Amino acid sequence: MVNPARNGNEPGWAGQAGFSLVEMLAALLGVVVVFGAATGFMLTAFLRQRAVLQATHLEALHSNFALTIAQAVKVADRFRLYPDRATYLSSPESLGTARGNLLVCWARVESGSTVEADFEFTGGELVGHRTAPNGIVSINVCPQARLAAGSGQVFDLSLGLVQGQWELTTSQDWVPFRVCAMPLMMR
Amino acid sequence: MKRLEQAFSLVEVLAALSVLTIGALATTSVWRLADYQAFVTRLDDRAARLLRECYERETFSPTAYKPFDRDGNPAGETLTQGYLYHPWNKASALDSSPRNYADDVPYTISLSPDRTRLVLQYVLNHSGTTEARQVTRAIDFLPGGEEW
Repeated sequence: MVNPARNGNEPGWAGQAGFSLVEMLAALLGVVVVFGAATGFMLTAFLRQRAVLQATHLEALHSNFALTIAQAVKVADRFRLYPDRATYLSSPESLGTARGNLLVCWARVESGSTVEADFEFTGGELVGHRTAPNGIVSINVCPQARLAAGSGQVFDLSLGLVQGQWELTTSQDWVPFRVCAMPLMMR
Repeated sequence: MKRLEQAFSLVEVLAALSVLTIGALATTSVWRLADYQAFVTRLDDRAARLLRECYERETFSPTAYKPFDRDGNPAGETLTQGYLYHPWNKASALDSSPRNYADDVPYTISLSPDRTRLVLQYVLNHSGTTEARQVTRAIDFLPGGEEW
């Protein structure tokens, strides 16, 4: 950018003059400041946006999970709570408990078959299984879940409703989740 | 010919920098607006969840546990007021327990006098301005008639 032809003693060439050293330094300083600030901003914005997107994605996962629980309960013909899956598998015909970390719902579909959906809290994540009449199992996993403060189990039957509550902690915030629903047959 | 050989003057460079700065500021503004809209969307989603829970409780809970009394007033229920946003409180965040998250964006849920609408109103502070937003759900307290 510095014109080697610059010669201050030649008035005819004044229009072609490039930067003086001071001008060059000032220009470089300006460019460094602007691009440095822009780069820092873009980097910060990118990192924050990534964190926000991850948090939003996680919350959406949990929100859909809560909605799935509510829908499964509403259409259930019967449901039961168990402390955990091991208890359920050891005695699936037991009456269940008033609170626990496993909710199992059964719903009869038009074909007469039964669809089973269960939702379980297992060490930091919520896992949902839906077993279709043809035996196909679909699994839904929500990571980073934890028990609500002061609560030993996720699901309970207090207030006469099937309720579930848990918490999600993201890099941005803490999100409490509560879901409650009443089976249609009990309404 | 001489004109083509000219270098930039300082004024031209400063003008270019000004343009770049304005562009960066515009980008910042757009990014902040997008960030704000995404945040509002999350809050609206949380509001919808709370309204859904409120509807179920109001419809199917025993009378003593309903969020609203017969007159439609909040029945001392924590569900009808609280905070939608609990950002990480960095000053005291040594672990991730709830007490290290602040309470922000206060909300209140009210029942319309004709008991056909649940309204959640929250107050959002953004860029020095306060905005009151409202999320409304039409409801029908007849089983199977709700619109969620």
